[in-house]
Amino acid sequence: MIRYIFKRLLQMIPILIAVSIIVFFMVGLSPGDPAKIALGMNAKEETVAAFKAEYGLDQPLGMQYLNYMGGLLRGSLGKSYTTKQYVANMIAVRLMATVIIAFGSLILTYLIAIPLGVLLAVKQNSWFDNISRVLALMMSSMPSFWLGLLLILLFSVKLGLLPSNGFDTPAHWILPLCCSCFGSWGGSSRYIRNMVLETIRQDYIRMARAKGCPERVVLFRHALRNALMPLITSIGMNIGTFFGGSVILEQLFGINGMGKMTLDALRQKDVPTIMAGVLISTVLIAVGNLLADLCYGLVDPRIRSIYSHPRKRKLKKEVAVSGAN
Amino acid sequence: MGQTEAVRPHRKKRSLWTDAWTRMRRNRSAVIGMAMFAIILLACFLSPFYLNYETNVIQPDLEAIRQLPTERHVLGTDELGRDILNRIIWGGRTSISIALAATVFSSVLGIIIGAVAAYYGNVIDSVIMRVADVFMAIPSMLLMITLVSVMQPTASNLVIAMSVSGIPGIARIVRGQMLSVMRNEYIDAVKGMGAGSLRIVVQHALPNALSPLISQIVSSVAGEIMAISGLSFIGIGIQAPAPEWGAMLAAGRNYIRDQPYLTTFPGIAIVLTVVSLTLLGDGLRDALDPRMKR
Repeated sequence: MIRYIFKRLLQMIPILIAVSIIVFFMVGLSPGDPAKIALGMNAKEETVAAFKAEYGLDQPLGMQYLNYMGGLLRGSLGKSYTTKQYVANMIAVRLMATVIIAFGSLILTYLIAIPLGVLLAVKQNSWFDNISRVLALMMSSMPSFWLGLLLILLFSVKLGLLPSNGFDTPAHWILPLCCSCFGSWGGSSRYIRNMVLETIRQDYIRMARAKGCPERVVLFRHALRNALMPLITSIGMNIGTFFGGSVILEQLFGINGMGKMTLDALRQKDVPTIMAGVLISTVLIAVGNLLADLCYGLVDPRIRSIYSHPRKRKLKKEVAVSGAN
Repeated sequence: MGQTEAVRPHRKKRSLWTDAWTRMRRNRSAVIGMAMFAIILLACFLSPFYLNYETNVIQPDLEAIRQLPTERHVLGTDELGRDILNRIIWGGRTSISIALAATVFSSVLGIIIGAVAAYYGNVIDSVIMRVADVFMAIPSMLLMITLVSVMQPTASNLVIAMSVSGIPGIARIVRGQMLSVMRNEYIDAVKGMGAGSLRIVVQHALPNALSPLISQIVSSVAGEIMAISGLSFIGIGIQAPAPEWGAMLAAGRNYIRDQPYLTTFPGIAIVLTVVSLTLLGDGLRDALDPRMKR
């Protein structure tokens, strides 16, 4: 298992290097002089030159990239051009909010969608199931920022129950998290319903019932567990969506997070901050995907046994093939 | 072929498409989705015939600021006294054209790239897929934001940014489908008959690989519409004074306390468009691949 995690972490390195090259040169080659943006259009020639020398902007772009990567290897994310702060310090303040929104929505989504999906599968074709179909469609068609505006209108403006700006207390978390999850509650619960309905028709479920298992055990131990396999794949995809959505929600709810930081930095061509924002999001998503893949092992004992015995290559291949089908 | 036709001369030729169309017409929610999207498309794309961009859409009318819906302004007026309905219609034209263009670009390029990767395999395949991995490692919203900020926020650059972030996903699906289609015996048969690689891929492999993709492409237009309005909402999409649903929401946000209808109607426009496209996409999925029907 540890070998597998280590291997996956190693595979991330070339991807991160490629991402860093793409973003660095894309931003670097775009029009606009970061020094002039940071100092203002009326800055004197000498100040601009001094600024460029201080941040190494007087060197060719390729050299700038190597300098940046050298700093990264020494553990330094550089200094922001505009705020003059160390990027690491800026991130330290902002990372928590984004992580809470992205991973919090992921957890909250499935915490509600899984039991709801099972319930919908049990009540297949009831009025509850039919209403949920329409509701799920509406929920997943609503842009999170519009829902956010409606929720602010209801809970902050009309009822005065929840704060609509900032991210200081858990009460501040409620609205952004709900906005972030709302769409996927609809989509994921329908998805889980369909998965459970597919597994519930299998022979082993009939077998479990024939053995006299209580319905609860049949549903949660036998059906849900097998239905969860394809779900884990969709979790991996959702992490990226929640991260991207966080950029918009941070803007809407005035949250000082990574997304807002990256967006502001992009407007000012603040390369070190942009790089940190993109690279850290990429790493977090990759780690989230890795965790999701490790969940396969939790759910499927076949996969677990492969990683505890690394020599069972043949079996691994078989499972990979059956997983691909 | 000639023989079969001689045996059944009056039988109408039934292709995948005519079959799918028959199945689709019987599917009530797909027909509703189709009708809704047709109405939205007509209203938006015929708007140049009944709206004047300069006078009806962007010209401020400072005497009619933030009015409630009246006979003259059916959905009220915005913070500069402009008719909200006109702006929603014109904005829809922009959003839908960008979404359609981005979807067409990313699908065509994604299909070509995916097909090339699957057909040639080996080095070409691994290079293409590694590049796709890199682009898929960045959250697509963040990638779009970066691309748009680096270029200028014009309509064509939005199309480029959204296509670039859409291509890797489509290429990966096409590649997977192609790989499984290429394993079929009829491909070997065509190869045996001496068909060239272009003929094998375009005429024999791709049509069978694409049908599962089509519904996904239609649904992705809905995703693109949400993405454009998201980008415009945070101020890096369509720029003022041109109307766009997300930008209208962002502008109405300041008046949410007293004039909530400023933020209500553009949102409803987004939801209706996305719902119609989702119904249409789901209907296509069921019609093209009845095994997937749930």
